[in-house]
Amino acid sequence: MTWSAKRKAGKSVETDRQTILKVEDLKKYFPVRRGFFQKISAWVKAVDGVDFSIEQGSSLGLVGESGCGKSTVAKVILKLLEPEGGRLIFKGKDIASFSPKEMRPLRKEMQIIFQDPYSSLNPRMTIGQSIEEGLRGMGLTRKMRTDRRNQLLEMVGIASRAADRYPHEFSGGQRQRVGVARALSVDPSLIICDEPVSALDVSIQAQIINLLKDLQEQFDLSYLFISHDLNVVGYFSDRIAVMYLGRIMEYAEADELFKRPLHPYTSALLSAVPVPDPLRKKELTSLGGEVPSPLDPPPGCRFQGRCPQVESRCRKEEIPLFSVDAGHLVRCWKTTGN
Amino acid sequence: MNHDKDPLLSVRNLKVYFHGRDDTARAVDGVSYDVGKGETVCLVGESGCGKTVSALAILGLVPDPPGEIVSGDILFKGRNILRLKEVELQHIRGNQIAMVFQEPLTSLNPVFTIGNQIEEAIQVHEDLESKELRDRCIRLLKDVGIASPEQRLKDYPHQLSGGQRQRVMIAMALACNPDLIIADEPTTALDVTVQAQILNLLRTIQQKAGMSILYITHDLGVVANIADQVYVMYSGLIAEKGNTEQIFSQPRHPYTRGLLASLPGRSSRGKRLHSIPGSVPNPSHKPGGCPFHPRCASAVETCQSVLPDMCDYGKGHLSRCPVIYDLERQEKSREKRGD
Repeated sequence: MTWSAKRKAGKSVETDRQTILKVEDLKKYFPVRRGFFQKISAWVKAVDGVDFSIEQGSSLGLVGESGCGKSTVAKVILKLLEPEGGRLIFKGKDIASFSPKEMRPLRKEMQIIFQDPYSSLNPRMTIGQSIEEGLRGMGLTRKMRTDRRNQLLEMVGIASRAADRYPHEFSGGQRQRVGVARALSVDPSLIICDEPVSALDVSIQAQIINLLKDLQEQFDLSYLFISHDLNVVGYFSDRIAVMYLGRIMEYAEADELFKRPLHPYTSALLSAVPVPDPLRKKELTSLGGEVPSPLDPPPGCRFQGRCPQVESRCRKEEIPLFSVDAGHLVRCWKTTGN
Repeated sequence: MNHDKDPLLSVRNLKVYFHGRDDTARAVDGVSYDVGKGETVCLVGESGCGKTVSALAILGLVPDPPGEIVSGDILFKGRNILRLKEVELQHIRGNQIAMVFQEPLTSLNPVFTIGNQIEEAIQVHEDLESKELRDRCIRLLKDVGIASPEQRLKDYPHQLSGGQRQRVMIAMALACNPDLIIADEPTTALDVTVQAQILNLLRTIQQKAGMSILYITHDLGVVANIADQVYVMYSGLIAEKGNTEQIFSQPRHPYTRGLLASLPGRSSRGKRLHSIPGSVPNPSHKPGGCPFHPRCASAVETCQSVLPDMCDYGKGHLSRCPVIYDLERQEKSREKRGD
């Protein structure tokens, strides 16, 4: 009770929507080592210059196919991986170079919900213990922790008397609810959802999405919502960033992106999604080829190998993000008339 | 698309149970479906609804024990597959009925080359010389859209991407020109752009060779795009059956309606998603009566005790919900009286 009350009081002071997280030119490379001396032979450029920002209380969708670097972005933001370069401005502070010790007080501000609710909960801990773990070392008495735990469980739709049960006793959807409760336990302001509903059945997906939406309204949460499912992202997010091979290809308001996709990759992604309506059945436009390896990518546009509109200059020059309208950015010269 | 003749495959009242130490899981609990010649039939349902087990039963792949085919018939070209001896079944399996699995990396053998594995699939059923065999492999790989097939034959599965592996699986399934391909979630592990490629590939192959496809999936978007006939499964039973338009435009079962309404999309932005409360029942402890009744908003008292029969809406549209059926009939008669 006291937690949420404190939170709401704090919120009322802020009148404008503030930027909670700003990512600038974020880079994360992984070395590929070969030979007896483990010499670095190549670099995997998993994240290669990513920019976006998330406003307080809003959701940013990050979409892309497997291997495009979207989960790496999540890990770097949480500083589970050290960034190679760029800035991570969280609540006005650049945390990119923060040491683990400096990060500690910030840990409770940022939480993550993982894709697989089966492997992200410790099977030897009761769900109550899993939720309480984050509350340890915060100067709470045992009684306060238990109260908080019960309150969290009820909040995500699980009876608090189930706290002493183990993860295997729950279904996938319920486990994901526990994952949400655990993320909420420390009262974060930013939650990174890494494919939170991909492992769930359709009827359960809707329950979790509704839960996340309700919690956002209740606690003014900000989400970075990572998914490969354009339908889910389109429903959930206020703004969407489309990622391909470590780069943002297009960045726009969700409605704008669906109505007016400008990057050939975004258009291809959108037209490849099967629509659950037989009357709108169409030949799914398929893009040739697959996502190439991010190992030493060629100069120029990352999408050149699969782009139907590729020209010679796409193979030579790096393409910046062009601003089309306020807030609609596209990394392509052709469709933006440059 | 023709129902005048006997269907190619007809599953009749199939029941497959798995016996555990303490209880029995009724994975498939009386399922019937038909696959006509040249048709694409989709089995759609959530995990644990029995869609995969019913398909494994067709190929005689249900592990026994713990599995047991309790009752039912599976007629393929008029012959009951369940009565066949293992040797006879081997003539059908891979030859006339082929299967494509969800995860190509686990269904391909990592220590043999792609070429070896496709050749093996052919050799089981046909006696060909090595030159002919190689040519057939190359043609198959070309048919499924793999570039430079001569080189790919020497590759091991780990050297291929997910989409290419699934293409190889499809090539193996096509190896003996089967009459029926059972595809069990073949695109679930793939990215959307690659999924679109594989779906288009299956469609072209089907048009060329005129084979039937039994497609198992949980993705209603995929169903709308490829299916002729749709069977919606829930907890080991068929909840609703109809052609694609009937299922998507006029769903009659509360479960089908709930599933369709709970799909997120751009059009539902800002609105709260409809969600079906509760979760799928455990196949060992199914609720009595209609298995959907604990989650159903239209449930009445009889739903708790009596398993409803399929109600016929005409034109091949069946739904296992008498409550909705009666409601619609009442409405119709009221309309008539109103006229």
